[in-house]
Amino acid sequence: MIFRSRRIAFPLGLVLVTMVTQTEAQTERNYRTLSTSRQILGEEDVTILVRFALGHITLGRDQGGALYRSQLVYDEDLFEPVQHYDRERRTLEIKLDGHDGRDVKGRELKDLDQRLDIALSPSVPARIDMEFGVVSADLDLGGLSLIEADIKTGASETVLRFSRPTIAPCERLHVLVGAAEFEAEHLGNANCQVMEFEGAAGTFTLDFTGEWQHRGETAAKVKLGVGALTLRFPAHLGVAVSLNRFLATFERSGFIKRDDVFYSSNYDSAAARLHLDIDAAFGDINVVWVPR
Amino acid sequence: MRVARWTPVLALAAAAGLIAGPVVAQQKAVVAHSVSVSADGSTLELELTDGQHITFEVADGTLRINGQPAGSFKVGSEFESSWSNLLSHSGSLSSAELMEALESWQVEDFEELGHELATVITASLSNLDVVIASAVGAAQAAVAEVEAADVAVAIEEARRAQELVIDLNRLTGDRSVLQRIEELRDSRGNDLGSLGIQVENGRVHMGDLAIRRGQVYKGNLAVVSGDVSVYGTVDGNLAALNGDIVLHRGARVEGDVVSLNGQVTRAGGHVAGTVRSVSSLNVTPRRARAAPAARPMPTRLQVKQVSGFDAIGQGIATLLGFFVALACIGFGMNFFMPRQLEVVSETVSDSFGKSFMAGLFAQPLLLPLWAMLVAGLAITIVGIPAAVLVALALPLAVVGAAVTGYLAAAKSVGNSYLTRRMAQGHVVVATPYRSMVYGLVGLLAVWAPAVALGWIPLIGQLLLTLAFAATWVMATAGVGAAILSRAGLRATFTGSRKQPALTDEHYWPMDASNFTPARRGRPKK
Repeated sequence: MIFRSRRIAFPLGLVLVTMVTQTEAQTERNYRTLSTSRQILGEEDVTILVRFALGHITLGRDQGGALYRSQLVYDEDLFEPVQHYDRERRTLEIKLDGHDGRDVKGRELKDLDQRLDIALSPSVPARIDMEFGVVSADLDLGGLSLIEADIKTGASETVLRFSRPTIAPCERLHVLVGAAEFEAEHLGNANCQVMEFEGAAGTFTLDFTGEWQHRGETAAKVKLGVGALTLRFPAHLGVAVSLNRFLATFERSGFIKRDDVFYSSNYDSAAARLHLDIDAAFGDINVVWVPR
Repeated sequence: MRVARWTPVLALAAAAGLIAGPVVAQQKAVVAHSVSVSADGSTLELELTDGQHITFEVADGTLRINGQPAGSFKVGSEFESSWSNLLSHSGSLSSAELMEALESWQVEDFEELGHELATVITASLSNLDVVIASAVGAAQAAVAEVEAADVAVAIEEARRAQELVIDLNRLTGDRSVLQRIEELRDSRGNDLGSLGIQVENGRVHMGDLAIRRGQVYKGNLAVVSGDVSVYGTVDGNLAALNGDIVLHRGARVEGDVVSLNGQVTRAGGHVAGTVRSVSSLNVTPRRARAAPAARPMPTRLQVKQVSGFDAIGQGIATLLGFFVALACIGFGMNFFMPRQLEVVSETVSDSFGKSFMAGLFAQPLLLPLWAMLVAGLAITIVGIPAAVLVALALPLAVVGAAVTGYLAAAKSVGNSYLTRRMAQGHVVVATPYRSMVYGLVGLLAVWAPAVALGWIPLIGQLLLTLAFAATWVMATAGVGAAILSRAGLRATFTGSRKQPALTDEHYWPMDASNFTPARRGRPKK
């Protein structure tokens, strides 16, 4: 379960090899900045594919009327960018490859300071498919028209936030985290029908506060290998937790156990309800109730 | 000091108009732009409403429009730095804002430019006619190349006019195989059987084909005279001729899916392109030929048939290979760590039951132990390198322990055999190396029946299973002995703690009258 995705294992292995093998400093780098912008041409939806192995990445909403804007700063001696928008399929693809498919050696990555900033139109529904390797990521999907988001990270420090409610209900939010520190903020603004979080090892914080415009029941799944999981629930949210754990502790204060399911006291009367299915192996599961 | 004002929008319109005409060009708008800036140069790429791209590249003292030189400038000049500065600050601009910025862009002070270059640049920037003329030449050359290419295509198409060509890169759309079939149908009806068929730009498979889950075919794929079931991924177009295509759940085709004279059934899966099928054709693949670069996939006919004798020969070679490899490892261990190997070997010999049970109980604990160690170390970023080392080292250590245990067990068997021979009065020089060889011969001999009769159905499988089981038992006992003896450092379970009355010499009583002591080396004369 822990390393079930090769796409995560590869960048994870890359950074480990990097940390182990780096022996000499790369003193001089040639960075190139690639900026792109595209106007909206009646697109009904757009798909964003991002593959970014090393550096810092941000994602947010564009306020200037563009379909998307992006700025990529990369080492042009090592990498070759692929930034392509397919008009027919309405798909933007951004990724960095080694020159001519060459594998970049670990010692070449020392002190590499790459960056990718993406801003998306809030008015065009978007499918987001992102894979990160060793990155620090700050992703704010708040205010976007989100159809679906699939985010995979390797060894990273990732903050996923919904600073404001998304414009349209999203079908699914899926996050797969390798060995990382991951924090999701204001998931109550995501308006997603299904939320899935999978983590191999690390520290995970899932903050379910937000406006919870999506009434009724929302399903969320959490699979955790090893690490600490902190769950933050707003007091007005009805929460049911189904727990499948091996050697994990669960902070059950504020819950009533019925038929192997932990229910918050307001579950039956709450306007918005969350059914959380947790599958944890090792670690602590902490719960924090946030007053309105 | 001069002030030059360049309006790239007009240059852009002019450059674009070279292809589509000036009137149309004026109606075009920029819908997307891409700016690439580095110390070596900078590039501005504009995409127009009709999908055309105009690229302005400023590098190495040359301004290029769509790759064609349109003017020169002095490297490091005011023009270059001003252009780079403009593009550097355009990252946050929309395309419209960028065009406004370009319109208001001013380059001051051309005095520093060399006279000759300055003339070119000044002319290029202040007099758009120069830019236009340069771009016209480039565009005309490009158009000429395109026309020449079109002529070549037309000639090739004329040559193939009598053939139905399956170009896997072009299944649908203009000049596609489907379009060609429709044209042929109009003129000849459904009977296309007399036409030859070529398959280009892809792999060809004859007969039925199943693409398993997790299997990925790079590039295009054609299946001729067979059905294809897709559970995995085709990273290109997929075509079937005289066969059906079934897309199962989880299947992925990154291009188009076309069945000629068959059906396409979608039980799930994802197709990035279009799905089409044409039925009621009478097509015979009289001359199926792949393009030279295409690699034909192995068919069932190409699978090498191995006879029973070949299998025996291969088995003997494999067995000998294992023997040599294990003997080399065993000799090395005898040389470098004789005491530890001896202790483990004696533990196997003296406490076989306990060793086997220890090894047996250790095996199911290995995976959880590995997972706990790796996961525990990987909690922190700092511990990740150690986790990787453990993740790699522990399986290697387990394999090493199994091999060591097996060799220790072999040595134990060899020891027992030689001791028995000595007890029976034979003259035997029982060196550790000889014990190892005899023991390996004994242990590997259990594979001999499997090698000899392994090609016989059922019996062969049974013998193979028995040989594997015997090997596993000995390796398990060896690993257990290594655990009990702490890798040969603790002799608690060996005969060293036995009373002398229970040592090997008393297991097999010797006939002292028949005993001749063995000598090492040459006898002294």
